[in-house]
Amino acid sequence: MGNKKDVWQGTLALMVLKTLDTLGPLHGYGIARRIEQTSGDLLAVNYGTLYPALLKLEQEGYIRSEWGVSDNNRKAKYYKLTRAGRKQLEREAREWEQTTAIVARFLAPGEEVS
Amino acid sequence: MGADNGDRRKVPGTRRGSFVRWLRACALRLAGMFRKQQRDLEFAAEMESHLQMHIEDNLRSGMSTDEARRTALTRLGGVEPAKELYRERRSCARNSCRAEGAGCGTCRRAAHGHAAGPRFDCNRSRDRTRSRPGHDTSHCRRTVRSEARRPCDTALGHPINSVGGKHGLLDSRAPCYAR
Repeated sequence: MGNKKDVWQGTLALMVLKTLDTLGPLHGYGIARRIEQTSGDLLAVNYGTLYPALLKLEQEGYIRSEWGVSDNNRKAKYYKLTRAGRKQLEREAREWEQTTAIVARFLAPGEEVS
Repeated sequence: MGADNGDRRKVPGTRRGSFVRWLRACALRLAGMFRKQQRDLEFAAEMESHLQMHIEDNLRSGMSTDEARRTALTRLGGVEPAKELYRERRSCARNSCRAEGAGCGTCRRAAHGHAAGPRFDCNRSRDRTRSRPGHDTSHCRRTVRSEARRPCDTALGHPINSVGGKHGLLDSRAPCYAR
């Protein structure tokens, strides 16, 4: 736990959207665990801040929620990606790729930026 | 570059519908001011379900019952702070102006002051702005108090910078000095 990294600023929503796109409807705990597992347990999601993030995405219309029953027969709120959310995910993924590509150009050894 | 030639077309690359989304989010937050009790109960149920799932996972990994519950609560950052954060996002509370990056100067200073240390005197800051007509700074004190209640890894170090992004402060972490 000690050497786990925090989720970087502004990337939690992208990870949530991608998780829901990949796995379909999922509850908050499932989303958090999936993000941590996908990162190879290198990232630690702050569970207390995950729910306001989910609410924000819901308010913006990118996800939808409804109560359901989990595998363990427990009542849980499930979140689902909307069409707008899928578009947002594409947009954000594109922006993220652009950003990392730009930074990578600065970090590339011995390459002149023309 | 950037001269206005009377062209009324959209600027290429602007996000269509982002204003509508913002408006929608505002309307939902306004709606969040009503039926508070029901929404609180709903979120409490969601928290409970989250905790139970986490505890079950911890038990499966070999922890004792006490340890499993304690670890789950720690990872959540406490139930009450989590509820407070959620309420802030849900409603149009005045101190949530910071969350939209549109907070007043005092509010911003209050949050910065909290990050700077526990000795920050919000009242002094309020006195400086008291002369401004119609400026209610009581929410500034509420901001500081709500900061103090946050889970320690979510207190905002640089609230204005961290809320400037698209997804706001929700996944930001900074050291908490309120302990």
